[in-house]
Amino acid sequence: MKLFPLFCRADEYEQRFEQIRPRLYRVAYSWTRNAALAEDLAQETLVKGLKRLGQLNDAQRFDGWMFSILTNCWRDHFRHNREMEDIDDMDESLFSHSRSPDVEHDQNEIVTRVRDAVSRLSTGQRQVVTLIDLEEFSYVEVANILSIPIGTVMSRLCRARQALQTLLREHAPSQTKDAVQPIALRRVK
Amino acid sequence: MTPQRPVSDELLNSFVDNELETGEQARLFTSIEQDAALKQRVCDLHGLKKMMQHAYPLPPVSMNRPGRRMRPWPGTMTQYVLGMLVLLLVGGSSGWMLSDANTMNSVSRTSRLLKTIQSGSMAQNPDKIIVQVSNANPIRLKAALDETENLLDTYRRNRQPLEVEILANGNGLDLLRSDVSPFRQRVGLMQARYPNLEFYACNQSIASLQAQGIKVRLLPDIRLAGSALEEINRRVRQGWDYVRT
Repeated sequence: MKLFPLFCRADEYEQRFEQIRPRLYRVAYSWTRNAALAEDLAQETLVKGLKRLGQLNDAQRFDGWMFSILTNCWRDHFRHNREMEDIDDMDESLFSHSRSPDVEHDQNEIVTRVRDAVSRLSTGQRQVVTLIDLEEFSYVEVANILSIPIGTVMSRLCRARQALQTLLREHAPSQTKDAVQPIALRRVK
Repeated sequence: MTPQRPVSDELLNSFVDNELETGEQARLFTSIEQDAALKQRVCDLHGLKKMMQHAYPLPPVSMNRPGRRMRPWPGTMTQYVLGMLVLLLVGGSSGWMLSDANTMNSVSRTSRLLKTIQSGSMAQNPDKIIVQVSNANPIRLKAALDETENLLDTYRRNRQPLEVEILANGNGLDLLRSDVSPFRQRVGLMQARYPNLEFYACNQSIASLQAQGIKVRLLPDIRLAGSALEEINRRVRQGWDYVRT
């Protein structure tokens, strides 16, 4: 009977659900770039996770298990609604911070460039690189979450990072070059 | 000096992600120390990882429930988890859980329910429905109101009991904000026409807007839900059907 240990672990799971929610949202957002959709996906994942908690045999697999559910939720959503998504839904207001306008501008520029680049990756590459870089899952864990071979994880990751580097270089702001110039001039003097 | 084998990107990625075994890692450390170009590639990969983490910070406000910072997920979650365990106990002995039909599958019933409603067949006759609106797109808001109104009218014509809650959260909160709602009048008319319809606003979404310096004014007679998730969980547990637009 697993009921008694499960009962004893209620508090532990409460904390885990508490902690994983913003992480699910962050990854969902990195996949969809749509705040409302990311919130919906995170919520749907939590609801499903809560309902299926009894199916989780190994508590140590909780994080990966939840991200597997998120993957399935997104896959389902993508299948059912891909024609319905529109550009008006894109909203990054949930990420806003109270910083000075200058800092905000610089930060946002980097953030926007990276998010632009990530959104241009293929779905598979985007999933792999975000799970590894944001959630710091191991390659084996990512392979389990996405139900793909570990070799595919490695090759997708490799291609994703190559593409990101290229895209970020291509879209580097011109002021970067301007910023380098004064240093070169000082050296000449 | 013996020429070194070129180091593949896959290997460098594994190094940066701490996926290599100790021996292989040590060999690569040596190579990196001796090869400036290799060192640069490793630095670039580390930089890329940092940029990714910087670009996607954990949500600072909305997902961490600003009004309840000390205990972002209140006791309801314990009750829910415990509730689920009780369900497991009851279900395990009666076989009820195997049907997976009621609360356990309400999320996936969403689209089916909408289709049922739209087709007018009403095969399942749901009598308590919570409709979540989390999108500010006026087309979707209108669709949610249209569908709800159709449903309420159909039930009224058939003299069937029905309770509906429209729960607005996230960007969907715009529906119920007096200064920005594109459907102010319509919400008021629906409230007056259907006593079995209630509008709820997610308090967490309100707090999120307020934290951004936005003053939130709601339309009259709007009820407050602690958070969308809590309210949906509560209603699903009570046997309500859940529709997300």
